[in-house]
Amino acid sequence: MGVNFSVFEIGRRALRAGQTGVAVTSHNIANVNTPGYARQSVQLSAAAPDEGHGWLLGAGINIGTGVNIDGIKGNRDQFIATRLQTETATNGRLTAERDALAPVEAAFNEADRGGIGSALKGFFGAFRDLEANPTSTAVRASVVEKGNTLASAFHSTRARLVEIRQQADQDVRAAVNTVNDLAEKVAQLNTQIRIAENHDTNSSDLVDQRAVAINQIAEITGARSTTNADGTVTLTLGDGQALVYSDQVSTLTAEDTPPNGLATLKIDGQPAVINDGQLRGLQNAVSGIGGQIQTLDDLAASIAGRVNTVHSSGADLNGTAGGAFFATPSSGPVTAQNFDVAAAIKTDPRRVVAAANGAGGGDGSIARGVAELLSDNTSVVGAATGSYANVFASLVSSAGAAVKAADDELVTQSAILAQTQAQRDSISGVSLDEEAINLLQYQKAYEAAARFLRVADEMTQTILQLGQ
Amino acid sequence: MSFRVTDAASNARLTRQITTARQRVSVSQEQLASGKRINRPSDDPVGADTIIRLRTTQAQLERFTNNAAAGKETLQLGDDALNQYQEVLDRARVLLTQAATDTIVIEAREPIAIELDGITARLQQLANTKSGDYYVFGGTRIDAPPFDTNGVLNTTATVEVTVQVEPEGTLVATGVAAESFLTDATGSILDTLKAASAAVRGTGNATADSTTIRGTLDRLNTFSTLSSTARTKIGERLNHLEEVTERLSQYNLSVEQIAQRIEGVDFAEAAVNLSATNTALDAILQASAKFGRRSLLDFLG
Repeated sequence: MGVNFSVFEIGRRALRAGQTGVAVTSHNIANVNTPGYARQSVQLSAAAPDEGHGWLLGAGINIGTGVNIDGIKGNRDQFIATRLQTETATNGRLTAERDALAPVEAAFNEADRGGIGSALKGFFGAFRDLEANPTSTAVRASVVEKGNTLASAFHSTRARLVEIRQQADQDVRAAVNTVNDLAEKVAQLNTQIRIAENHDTNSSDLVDQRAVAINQIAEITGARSTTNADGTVTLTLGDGQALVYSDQVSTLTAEDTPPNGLATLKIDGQPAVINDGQLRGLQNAVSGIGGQIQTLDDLAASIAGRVNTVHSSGADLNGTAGGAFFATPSSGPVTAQNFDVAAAIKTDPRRVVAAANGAGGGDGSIARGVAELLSDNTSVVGAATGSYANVFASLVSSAGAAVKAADDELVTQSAILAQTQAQRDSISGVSLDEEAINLLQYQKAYEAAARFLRVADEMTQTILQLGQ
Repeated sequence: MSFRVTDAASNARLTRQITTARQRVSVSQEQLASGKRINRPSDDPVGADTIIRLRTTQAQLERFTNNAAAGKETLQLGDDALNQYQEVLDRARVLLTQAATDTIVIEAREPIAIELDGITARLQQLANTKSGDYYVFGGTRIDAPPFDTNGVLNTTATVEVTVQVEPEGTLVATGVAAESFLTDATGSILDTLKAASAAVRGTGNATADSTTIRGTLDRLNTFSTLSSTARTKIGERLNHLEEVTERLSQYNLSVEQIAQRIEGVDFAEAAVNLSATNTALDAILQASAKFGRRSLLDFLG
């Protein structure tokens, strides 16, 4: 290239730099609201002087050859990205746990007085009435009715808890499918990014897409990511099992496990360790609800057992020895599901016992004995010992405490997450003010380059006219 | 480099602030509408636990109060019966005192004997007073009255009916045992009066009849003492139940007060909270609408 024409090359490069700057700025503005987008900037450098021109200006005097576009770079901080994954995972766990447990406290229905609490009071209270009216068939009918109410309160509360647990289990399975889809996406993006980086092309948008997918996986599974030398990432679960390695995906599966058919998570056939994320939250909720169902079953079994023991020690209104008040299932223990008033009592309320054996029909000591069971502190319910009233109160308040704990933690966690997101935004987010300034800057640079080309053109014309 | 505040970050913060403000408004509204600070266990698990226990205690107190009221009714019936019983005994004493007078003519004896027979029947009726299915003086035995149709006193020991009227409290009997005042060491009041009636009519042995009548007068004193002792017992039990009812009511009141303190909302505070949270929400909305959305682009021509 001749010396006079080299300035055109400088002008051309300057124009291209300006155009590229405007293009990148417009890309940034276009993605101002795109989740996970990291603002991009043009990497410019001054082009080195052309060695071949030294002879013209004399030794040691070199002029640069304009501007080089080295590339387009996304602005991101790996440390904050990793923190964001961790915080998102914890946020996911707490949200899932709170959302799954919130219906549990409503299932106990304590506020509306239609639940087990009021049924317990009604049932034992009816025996207290019977104590004062041991010969009454009307009060006996009421005792049976209250027994039925208690049974249906147990049934419906247990059924509701099982349903809530089932819902959480369904959510686990749905989340597993989402994770597998996302993992597949991360693996594909890994491949594309590796190829792009090999060819030195801009992979920033692909990296952004992958970061969004990784964040979603972290939110569900608590997986951690590590970046490899070739630009790919490895995603690992709780105990280091790889979910994604380069373009390889290990499939997460939810297997039905007896006795309840609830999901157990496996990865490539091995038990998957999930320490955080929505799946951990859901697993916590499932096991928490399982504990509550167990307590409810224990409570039903204990009530049926103790009431039956006291009840059958007396004599009914016909003077015959009393039988069991609550039905004994043909197999297995009494649970909140099969808890029911004995058929004989249901068909003939005269079979309800109020009097001690041989004490005469006017005696109400057995009815008193049953009524006293509500506040008797020696009842054994599963691993706990205490009165039925207290055991039930603890069951309800612990359900409330679990929701409150998750909720309180979530308030703190969402503030932490918001702060981390703000930090990420501070580095990667698009500011329209900045982009407006960039736009002006590149526009002015472009105008100046064009102006310069006109000057160069005029100079060239001048030279050419010399020959005419 | 200083902390860059980007548009997305501003938007996210604004969204969070509005959500939080709305949540606070909603909590204040719910508290004000329900009048409760605890609307679900998670609002205050410890408080909810206490509330459930307190409400159980209240339900029990209500039953105890009912039982005490039922006991009082039965005791009242017993008290009335014993009152009449004593009046009838007094009348018997008057009649026997007349019959014991040696000067009484034989014709006057028959009406006394007839009245004594009536008194005997009346006493039997009073001894067998019923409250519902119960014999007030029959205790737990409901299939047989204290006196059978022949006026023979049931020999089975009476077990007094008791009810529990206080948590952990001792049991209160809602009657007195028939044998405590219907019989003395020698025999039942009915047998005594029947023998006296026969003596008044004359058995042919005037001396023996006179001895029987005088002896009966002495024994009527004993029976009178026995019945007033029984009445005192009933009175004491009634008093006890009165006291218990009062105590239950006090107890219930204090439980309710504790429950209200834990569960209830301070209306003034809730109203102020609602107003404050609403103001905060308005402020956030107005500020964001007016100033939140400006950028340099707005000023470039």
